[in-house]
Amino acid sequence: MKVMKKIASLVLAGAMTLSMSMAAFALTGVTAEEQKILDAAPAKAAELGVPTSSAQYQKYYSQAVTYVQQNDMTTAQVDGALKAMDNATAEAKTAMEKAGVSSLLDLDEATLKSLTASCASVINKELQAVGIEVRVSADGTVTGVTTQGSNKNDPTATNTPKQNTVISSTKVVKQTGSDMTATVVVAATVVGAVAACGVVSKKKGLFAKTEA
Amino acid sequence: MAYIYMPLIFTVIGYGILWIATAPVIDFVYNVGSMVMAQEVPEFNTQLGSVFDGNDGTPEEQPEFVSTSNVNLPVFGEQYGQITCERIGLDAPVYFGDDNDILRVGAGQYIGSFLPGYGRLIMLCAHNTTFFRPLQIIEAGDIIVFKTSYGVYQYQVSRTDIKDHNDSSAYDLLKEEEELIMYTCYPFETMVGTKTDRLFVYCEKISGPTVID
Repeated sequence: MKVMKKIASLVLAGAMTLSMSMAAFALTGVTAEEQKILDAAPAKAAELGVPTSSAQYQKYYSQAVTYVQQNDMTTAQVDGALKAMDNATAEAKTAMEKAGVSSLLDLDEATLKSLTASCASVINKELQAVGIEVRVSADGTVTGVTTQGSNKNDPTATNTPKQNTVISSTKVVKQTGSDMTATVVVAATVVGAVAACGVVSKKKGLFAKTEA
Repeated sequence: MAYIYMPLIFTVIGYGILWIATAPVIDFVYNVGSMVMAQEVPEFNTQLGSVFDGNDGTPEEQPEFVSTSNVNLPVFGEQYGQITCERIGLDAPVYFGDDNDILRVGAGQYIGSFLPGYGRLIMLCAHNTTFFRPLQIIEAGDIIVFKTSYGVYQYQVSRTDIKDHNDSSAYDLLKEEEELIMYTCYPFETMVGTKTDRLFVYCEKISGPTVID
């Protein structure tokens, strides 16, 4: 499941956007050039057999929309993103054909792992032009990080680029509570050990007063 | 001498076991404790920052529209607002992004959601033992005030729901209508076991400037 998420995120990260066709809906802060990325996504998703109604699809699409709303992309960067989308899709389709499956989500773990590695290389090469670096962490989390200061309305953008995580394969809903199970168990063990010490000591008469 | 060194040995072993077992949560407990016991303002992780310089405005004084050029968009890890609800005592800084570093110091926004005023979903989370603890008494009709540098927004709680953390029907990331969702782990009282349920609080926008190009 982790690897599936990894590959899905890499392919979709290379595409940057996967969405239902939103051509008729003008989003605030999205230029006509940037809209090309959003408009191209549905076809790519269809090629990969990923339903646009799926939670995974919507997760990455929404992140991509947020990215283009937040960042100004030049024509060259848009072209780079579209090329990344094409290359990542081609890599995934090759793997799907070899495996004989009709959906990216049906690939087995081993294939997904191999595809992840190859896509990461392909996507990184293309996304460098967009200023995005795709990173795969030890736990399998895939993130896209901008290193260029392309953030809109940031007066320091060109001088002191900020690192910004713009896409991530982490779950939408996070863990926001604590699990004190280990603490409770250990505390109970310690209390039990101390009590046992007391019982043993009492049996051995260690608490008995010594008569003078 | 046995009744001196034997308890000492058991005590040392016990503390050793306790330390090994609680090492992963010591950091969390320390940070939680520092929220209520610190005498000085806690130092932020160097990766965290802020584009929020406070906003003394009231919801009634807000313009109908605000230009995108007036919006200083945050990057991951930057505070951009403050969220409050007077009735329940909610008062939390809001950061863009929702990793563990951010959740230690405030409420985090999922990066697939967006900021107030853009007509999209705003999805916030925070720990149920700290900043979102007041949500356990939130009710439909409560007013949430969300202050940003570019505007003061009001949202009204329409409903709450308890859902599994993997239930994607709890939210609609592609919703073309502004909605604020706050969520945290549920139940609040249980400290043992990994919580799989989340309390979702759904809020509709009632006032605040719309961001336009």
